Amino acid sequence: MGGSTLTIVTLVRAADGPGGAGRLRAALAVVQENTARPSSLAHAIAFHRVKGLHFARFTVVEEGETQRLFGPKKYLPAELVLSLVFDGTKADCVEQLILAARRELDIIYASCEGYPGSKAEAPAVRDYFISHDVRPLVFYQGVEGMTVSAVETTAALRDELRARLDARLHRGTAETAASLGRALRPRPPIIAAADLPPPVPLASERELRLRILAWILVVAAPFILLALLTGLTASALGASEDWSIAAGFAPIVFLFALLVLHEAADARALARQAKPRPRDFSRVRIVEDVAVQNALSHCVVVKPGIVRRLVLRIVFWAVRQKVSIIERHRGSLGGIASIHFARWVPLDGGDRLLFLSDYDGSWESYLAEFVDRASTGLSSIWSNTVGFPETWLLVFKGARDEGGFKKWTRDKQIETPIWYSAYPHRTVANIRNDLRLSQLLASDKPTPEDAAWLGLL
Amino acid sequence: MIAIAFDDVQGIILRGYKELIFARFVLFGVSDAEAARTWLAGLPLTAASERDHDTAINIALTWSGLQALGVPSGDLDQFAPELREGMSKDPQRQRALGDIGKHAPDNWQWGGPSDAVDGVLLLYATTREKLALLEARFLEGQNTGVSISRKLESRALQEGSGLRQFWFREHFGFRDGVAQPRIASGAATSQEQRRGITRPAGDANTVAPGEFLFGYANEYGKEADGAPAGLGQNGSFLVMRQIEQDVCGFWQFVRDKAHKLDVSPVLLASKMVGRWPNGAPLVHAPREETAGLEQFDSFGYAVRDPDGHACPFGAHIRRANPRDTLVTGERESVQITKTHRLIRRGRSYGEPIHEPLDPSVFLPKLDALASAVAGERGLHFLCFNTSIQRQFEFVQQTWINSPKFRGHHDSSDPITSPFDGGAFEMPGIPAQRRVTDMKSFIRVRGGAYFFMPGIRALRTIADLRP
Repeated sequence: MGGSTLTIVTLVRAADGPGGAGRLRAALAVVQENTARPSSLAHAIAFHRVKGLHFARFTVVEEGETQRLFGPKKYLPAELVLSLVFDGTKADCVEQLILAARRELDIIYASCEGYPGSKAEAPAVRDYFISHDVRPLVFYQGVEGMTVSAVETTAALRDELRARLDARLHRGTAETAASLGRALRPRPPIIAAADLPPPVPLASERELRLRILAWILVVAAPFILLALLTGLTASALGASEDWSIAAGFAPIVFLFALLVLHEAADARALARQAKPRPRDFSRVRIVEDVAVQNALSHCVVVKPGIVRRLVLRIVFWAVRQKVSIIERHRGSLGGIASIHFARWVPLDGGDRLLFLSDYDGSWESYLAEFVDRASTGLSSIWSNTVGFPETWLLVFKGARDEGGFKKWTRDKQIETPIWYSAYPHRTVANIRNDLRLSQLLASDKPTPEDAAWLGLL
Repeated sequence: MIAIAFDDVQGIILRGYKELIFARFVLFGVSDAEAARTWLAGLPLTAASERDHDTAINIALTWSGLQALGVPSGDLDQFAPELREGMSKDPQRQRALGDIGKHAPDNWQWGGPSDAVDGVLLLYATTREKLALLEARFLEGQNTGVSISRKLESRALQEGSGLRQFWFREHFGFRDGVAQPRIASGAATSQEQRRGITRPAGDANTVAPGEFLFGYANEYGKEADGAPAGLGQNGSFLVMRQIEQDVCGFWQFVRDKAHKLDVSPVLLASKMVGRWPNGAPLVHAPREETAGLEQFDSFGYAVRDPDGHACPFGAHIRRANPRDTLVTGERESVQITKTHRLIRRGRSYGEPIHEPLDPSVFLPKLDALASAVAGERGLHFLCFNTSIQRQFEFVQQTWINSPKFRGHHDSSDPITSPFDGGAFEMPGIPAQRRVTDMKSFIRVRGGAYFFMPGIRALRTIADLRP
């Protein structure tokens, strides 16, 4: 069923020297003629021929550098990222892509390290792609298990029933839910239950509260264990009861103290920075709002030092728990229901953090939801990266600094010169609505209330 | 909470000048900076603290105007990107605002890519004669240093006499300008409150002053960062758009669609607006045009109309201001909505197709009117906010234009969307009814983003030396 992901990260050839990324971008532009015509959704790469491909994008991460605690700055190379979200297996997806677009891939990857080249056999190219896949730290899917074909068939069913309903209502006869249901309900069901993703029932308010509690317990458990362990060890070593309790709390207090010290130092560094001259973001904006969906590609350097790395690891572990315990039963990521797919991917062994998402609506509305609904979660992740607005205790302030956070996000956003969506006119809300409708109509159980499915038209 | 400096805020931001029913918006370019600064220094700008006047003058400048008047680049850089880039030049902004096709800035009467506007002088008066005198006094017979590129005329479409002379309609025949945010102010006097400018915070329609004025806390508890600290104080961004309305076309369309659905045209059009022509909101008057609710605005949707059976989710007023039903929680909805409010100061232009401008009266004569009326009519849309991106552009793009607003499949604003196509959905029992193949009866004819400085900040600009 639906929703696997590949994030293929390849180095831009060092032999090309500095500016290699520029030449790569030129190659991308040659392939993607429509960067000059952003109102067109036509694609030079025949992504649509890859069966089961939801979204695809190429994005270029510029070369950069990161501070090390000791020694000189570390150079971070320019990289090309190909991100794919698809149904089925990785090998199958890559093989189909090679079949559909070998010529274009050869042009693009001529600028990348280690590419087998245009004369290589397809399996060698496939292995090259798969061996460069980087596992995301978090991968979120808006409608779990949804396949591309299910998006299309459920949408077609809804459109068909809606048209029938319009025709009937225009006749002006008095109708009841039962009479409409009798007239419109397709028998046998057009889509069988087996062709739909297994329903992940959205949790009730009560269940959600329990799930939130469960998540808090899961996240707190390792800390409690750690406290117990150190406390008991101290006790075993002969410490008094008071000292053992103190010893139990010590590691957690120590971690927090370290974090607060880091945050204070970062805040001072931010305050020292001069106000930057305004930057022109038209290059990233030029491809936005062509259809109802948009892509965000965003890359930041992780703050140097072991503490930030450790915190980031813990945070991503907690976020993964949250996605599986809470978010998939709420149908949103941090309260944001307009995300088709989102993933955080580590680059350069964790020196940089890449965020890719495919979302509905405008950048401004997406960012507004970040600020209004998901600020704590996002701050806990991104406050460990360079330039993020001042944050306190990992979750406070940070992304609540509406103006500062939006500026930072735009500033760290990178171009997405090639982006593909299999269903550019469907929102997550549409997909979920049409899926629910199809599930109600495909049900083997006794006829559900006609009013329920009629309400989804 | 800091009290608002009413004597430093230009009047039109906080007051509608309802009694001044005539207005003229003079667009100008700066031709001689030195002379223009002297001219600015001599303008007696109307402050929000002033009362009982029969004329008013306010002024706003575009980014190019600020530049032409010699505002230093360090300050110019601090203005928000929307102001610096302007309304009409960026292709992404054109898509977001819907300024494409017949609305494209290339076809605009003013403000398009080849028509640089540096500023706008807003003149208001109780009579035509006083308006002419006002203009003569401040624009004629002197070296103003500005060249006038266009004058936009306006007369409010009054509903009647007596109290009703200050009830205005727009050209389609609906009551306009009812819903306005109130501004939270710690020092609101009872007089200010009675006049409706400010309220103590806490109410669903009361918004932090920083949403509309620079130098005050906004809904996120921070000062808006779209203008430089000194020059921005007590200023605001003015968004101006000239929107032509095809009134007969709109009503012929509604009449045909209503006939197919077997409902009255006035009901169908009211469903599209969310209010009856007299202003009564559908949430409280679902069946007929009830008298006594004309000015009524303190309502929500969550309790009375959670399913949109009275006022459809896609209705104009439910899109432009979703109140307490944007997301699942009422309080969160209200809080989010507060970060996307606008102070609207629009004025109609052109002659109404019929007087009185009441659809029930003119609908029977519609076809005769359609062949008889000539000329252009519409709305000079003016609004104030401190973040054009988060307020005006967001509302236009995400709530008005988006075919996907609130889970819709393909449905833009039935009244003010610039796009043809899609459906207007009316939830009901046993199933939702739709008007398909929707059409847009507005056309954008001009527009620009301005900064309206505080009165002291304008003196600072006037005192600049090259």
